[in-house]
Amino acid sequence: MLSLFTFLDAGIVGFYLLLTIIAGLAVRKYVGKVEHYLVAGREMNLYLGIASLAATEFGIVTCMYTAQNGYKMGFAGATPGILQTIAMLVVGITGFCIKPLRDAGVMTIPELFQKRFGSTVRWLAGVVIVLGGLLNMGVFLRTGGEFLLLTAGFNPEAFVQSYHLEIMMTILLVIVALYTVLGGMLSVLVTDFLQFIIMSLSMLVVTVLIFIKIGWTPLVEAVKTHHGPAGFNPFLMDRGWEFVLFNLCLQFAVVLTWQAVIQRILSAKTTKTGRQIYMHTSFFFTARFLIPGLWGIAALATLTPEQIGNNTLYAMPKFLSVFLPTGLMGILIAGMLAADMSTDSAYMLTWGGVIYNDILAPFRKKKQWTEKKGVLINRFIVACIGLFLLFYGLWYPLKGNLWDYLGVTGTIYLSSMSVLLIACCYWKDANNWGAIGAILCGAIFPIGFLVLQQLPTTSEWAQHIGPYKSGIASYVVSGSAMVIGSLAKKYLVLSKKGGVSS
Amino acid sequence: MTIFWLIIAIFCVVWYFTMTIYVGIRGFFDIQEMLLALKSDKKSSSSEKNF
Repeated sequence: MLSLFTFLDAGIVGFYLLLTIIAGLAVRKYVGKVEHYLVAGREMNLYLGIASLAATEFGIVTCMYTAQNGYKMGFAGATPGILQTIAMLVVGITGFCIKPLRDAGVMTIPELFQKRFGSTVRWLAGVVIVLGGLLNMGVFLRTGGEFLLLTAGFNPEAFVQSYHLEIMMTILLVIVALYTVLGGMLSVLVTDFLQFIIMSLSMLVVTVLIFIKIGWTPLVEAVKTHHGPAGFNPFLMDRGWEFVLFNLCLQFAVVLTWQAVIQRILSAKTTKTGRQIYMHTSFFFTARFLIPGLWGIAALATLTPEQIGNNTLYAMPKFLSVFLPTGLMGILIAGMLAADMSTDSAYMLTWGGVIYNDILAPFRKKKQWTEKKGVLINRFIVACIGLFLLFYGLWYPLKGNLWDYLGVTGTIYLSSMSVLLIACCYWKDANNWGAIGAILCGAIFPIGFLVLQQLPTTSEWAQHIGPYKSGIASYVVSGSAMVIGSLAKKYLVLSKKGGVSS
Repeated sequence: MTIFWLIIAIFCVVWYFTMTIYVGIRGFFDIQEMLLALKSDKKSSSSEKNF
């Protein structure tokens, strides 16, 4: 069963896990307040911020679908990464939305919304963020486990009955939960730093080895043969313009409102540091798509369709399982474990932070909780999220396409939250009617599309519309709802009170 | 377009390697600084309580 995974590799992985646990637990003694727990006391500096953001935004799931993009679309599959680099640079240089957000001194985005739109919008935004975020994260553990088994040379289908995957990923989750629950953002930052170095070095070594052993020309030839010119130019792909436009909207929304990304801005020492983190990390997002994309292209160039089977998601790990020599396999698996652990810990903390700060906000209205009680409740929430992930994401088998699932759950909140944030920061007429309309439309539209896609009578129509058009539409509809709702309140309610001019 | 992707790929690897080394060194000092600041913050808040 084992292919190239040996005791040496297992030793490397074990050593890495031990190092992470020690580092994660060592800093828990510095946690004294809720602010320490959720945003590291806002003491995070530039380079730690870069390492943390990069490690958080690269998990095994990311590696899997970006490699699948490389396999199915060629080099053009890295387009979303280039678009995200542009978005990060533009937002970092101009401070668009993130400057007022950091200056406000809030711990989450919904907390900012309360100042402008009231507590109902804050609570509603918190619910949508947590719902979208947790459902999105629900698939991380299983996908991560499948990658690790495939790369180590195991067949995941053979493990269905034996539950080895579940047991392995449960142990991993317990380790992550242990240091996240106890140390919060501080443990996340310190382990992220360690994980960034291990993950980056392993990714670089594998990529250089592909260049040396396979070479650039066979990769280019494979893309030319399988995808033609569309493998190099996204605009020549089927629905190419829609693909680019949808990803442009999506990447700007991610940069502005993805809570795990924004938490790095909110934990930064100053607003300037936060903006610098964005600028300096921007090119990482191209690497995040292109490097695993090259691994996917290498699978296209070296493996036959029979070796890959029906699921193209497995192409890259299957390629790595036969490509990497002993020792390097252990480094790669340690690197990918690092990538997954940093993502899981940061995401558990980030959604836990929104639950505490925004969804539970009404319970703190009458009497503020003490810092000690606040930290204790935060720890309890993170532990509950860990349990949710365990049962929903691992022991409960998910059905359907992974990318559709990630896309839908992400768009549910990204479209409305980006509209709300822009309106909150830059449109003086924006109000709670528009905000609630935007949240509801932003959530209903993508879910509605998925339902249409599943119903036999409407599936053909949904297919004709396509995922990209529906995604673009959800941003347009959410934005329109904000404008219409805000203007309606302005003219119907405020004008009666004579408050429009004021 | 092939040249474009070749340049991007090479730049990606070189940039990522440089970034990893540089961030690895500077990030270590950032952690030290952050923990020192939190330690003094914790001390001052506990002395305020005592006062």
